[in-house]
Amino acid sequence: MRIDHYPTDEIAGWRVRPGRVLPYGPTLVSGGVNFSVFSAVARGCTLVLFDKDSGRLLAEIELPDAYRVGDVWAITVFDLDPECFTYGFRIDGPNDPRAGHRCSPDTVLLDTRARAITGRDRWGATPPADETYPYRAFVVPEDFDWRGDSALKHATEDLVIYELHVRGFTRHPSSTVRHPGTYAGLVDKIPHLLELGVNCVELLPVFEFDEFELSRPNPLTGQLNMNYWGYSTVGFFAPKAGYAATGPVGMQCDEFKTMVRALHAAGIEVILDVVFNHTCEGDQRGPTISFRGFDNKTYYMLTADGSYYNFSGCGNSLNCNHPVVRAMVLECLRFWVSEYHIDGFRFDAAAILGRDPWGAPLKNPPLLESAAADPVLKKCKLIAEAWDAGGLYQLGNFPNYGRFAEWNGKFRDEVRDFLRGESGYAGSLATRLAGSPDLYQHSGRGPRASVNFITCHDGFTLRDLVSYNAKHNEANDEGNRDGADDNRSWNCGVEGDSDAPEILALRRRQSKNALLALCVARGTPMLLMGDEMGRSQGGNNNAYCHDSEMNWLDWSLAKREAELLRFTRLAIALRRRHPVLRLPWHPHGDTPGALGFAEVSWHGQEPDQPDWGSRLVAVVFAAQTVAGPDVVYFAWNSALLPTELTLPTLPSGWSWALEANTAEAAPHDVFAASEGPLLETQRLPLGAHSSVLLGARRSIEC
Amino acid sequence: MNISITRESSIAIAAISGDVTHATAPEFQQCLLDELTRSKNLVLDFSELNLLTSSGLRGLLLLHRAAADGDCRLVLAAVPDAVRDVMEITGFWDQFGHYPSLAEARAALVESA
Repeated sequence: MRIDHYPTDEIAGWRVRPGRVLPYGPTLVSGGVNFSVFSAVARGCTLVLFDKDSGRLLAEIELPDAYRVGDVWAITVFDLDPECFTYGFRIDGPNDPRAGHRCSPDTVLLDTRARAITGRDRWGATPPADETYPYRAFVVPEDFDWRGDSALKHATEDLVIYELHVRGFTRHPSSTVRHPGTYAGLVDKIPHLLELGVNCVELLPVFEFDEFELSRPNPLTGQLNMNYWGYSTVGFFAPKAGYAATGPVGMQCDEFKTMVRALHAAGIEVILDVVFNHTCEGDQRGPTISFRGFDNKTYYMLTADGSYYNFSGCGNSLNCNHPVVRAMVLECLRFWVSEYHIDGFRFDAAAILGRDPWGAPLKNPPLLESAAADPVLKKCKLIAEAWDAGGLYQLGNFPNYGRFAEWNGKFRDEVRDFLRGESGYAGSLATRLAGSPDLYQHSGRGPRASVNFITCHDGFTLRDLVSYNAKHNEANDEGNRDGADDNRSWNCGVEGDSDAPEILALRRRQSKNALLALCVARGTPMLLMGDEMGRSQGGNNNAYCHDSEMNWLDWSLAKREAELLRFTRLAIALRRRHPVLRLPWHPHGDTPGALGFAEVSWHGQEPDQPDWGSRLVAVVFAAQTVAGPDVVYFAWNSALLPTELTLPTLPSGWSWALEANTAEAAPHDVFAASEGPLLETQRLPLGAHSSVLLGARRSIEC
Repeated sequence: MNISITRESSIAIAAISGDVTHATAPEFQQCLLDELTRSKNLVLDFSELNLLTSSGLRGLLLLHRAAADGDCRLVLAAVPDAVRDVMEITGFWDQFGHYPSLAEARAALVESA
């Protein structure tokens, strides 16, 4: 028992004492709770306590000035049962919008460091009409039985990332999990992830957010368009209760940690999609929930007359490079790594993180530099979506300090163009397959900097990429104006649904081409949830607002699309058994590889004769590995007509073995290890819109 | 919360009724830790248990560890479905020996005592 742990005062009927300044936020102490918040502008700070069950006001405890250390207000309140109360703060401070101050003493603010938030405990439960304070923080035990869980430390180049939405993953009735749409539900589907062969999940935002934000009736379906994706943070330190089966009983933190522990036990890392570029408070028209009321000028990028800069496209921009906000972001990242055992972060609209308080791009942004060097974050994967809605596009130039990888938007665009048969993209495809040296070689980063993807939550699903030429977002009720227009998609002949077998077969083949290229390219591949079974959003390429079957993964697809699922699984397995595909450096044509081949060599219909104006790309990647020579030949013909290839010659005793050929019907479209047939001749036909992967195999016993 | 303990020759049965919460967990823990010093086999009869909160779960886990440390056996009996569900979801279930009924728990412990 500490010698300074006893009440010194009584305020509003509660025994209290000056609190401990650190850590910020709520801390359980013996016999009570410690609170610590800061504000650069507060003249007064009141802790407001509510009864947890009834919501009734319990007390307003005005903190004495003596309890203030610098800008930090800290108080320990005794005899508080953490399971019986929720809390917030009133900040008495200036309200002078032109000067950047928007304090609102009438509002009970949410603690910026809230660890658990109530108010949206059950996803989609209609909020009461007279809801005054939607969000109230409460205090949870932070200890957890991790059972020896420790970082998996998968090498970046060995990752196969699966981007998923927690609710969408199991909410569909076909998931048959006990608790659909939850962290617990995700755990039940770990066997699927294991069988698929992914070793990392990237979760769309799981920090507390309001699914009712900007909600409005859907004219087409009669349902409610909601904030389904969650890119609008309410609390950076609290997991979303509405994603927890135990949300209604306030145990979302334990449930989330259990999910991480289970994923780790299965060898699957966890990356969180984090949104530090803006908050849920919007601009001056938005609600004051937390940051605005504590210290508007510190937390937000403001213009000279106090308006909100809007680099996020969502109303406000978090002032990430202000020292205080920078510290909060770092504290947040460290918190999730140390308390929740998170393995990495994907930073949404990360270009904003490199802007100064007035929005100007910084050459040496302190936030990014600190994150890259932070000891707690040292082994984390750090991935940047290296652009924002304010026109700052930093792909290849993101201030990375040797640590931040990037979502490679060029990979997405150029592979899509090649996939749909556009001419002039052979050279681009080659560059992407080699790990995008044009973007990452100059800084010595290597392919580890490149997260390769063809689809993600933004845009078409893979099925829709090969089924639609144009977006169909009418259900978003924005006149189909929202969502990207340059989808670089091709519908294979018919827009949308079709029964025609040849159209469906082509779509399936095109999906396989995309997946195979993703698994062959150097860098880190990322798949979108459901692409392994042809999930469709009906052509909606901006499905952020649909809590419906449009977004929920229909698990019956696993059966209907068994061929695609099998192909995806074996394509991933193929990547795993060929280390040459995962080498973390850009291959060079004049560096020896193995079996007489250079690390990389480009071919055409004939060996060593690439035709960069054609729609055929053929490449050999070769390397000596611990297990011997690893040499693969990959060729992709995106033309309307079939072609014939002369294969590069292997040394005697070696033959090419077929490992994948998207022109073939299952089960000959892809093979498990060593099961593919040895090719007898040097001539290989390659179908239209088809790709093959061959592996060099010893053909005689040596 | 109420705990009533009956001791049989080789095992003790603690019937817990009511709520094991932040407020009552310390008493829950202390009472049963005491019991573990007396009995090598302890059955927690949860048939009348209403609520087990985060704090309650932690108290239970600490008991489980104390039992293991002291070479005692501690098992759960007749756990209500709602409680079991929460325990499973929050990662507190699979390390406990558990039986659907008090009779089965008693039989299992007596057998191996």
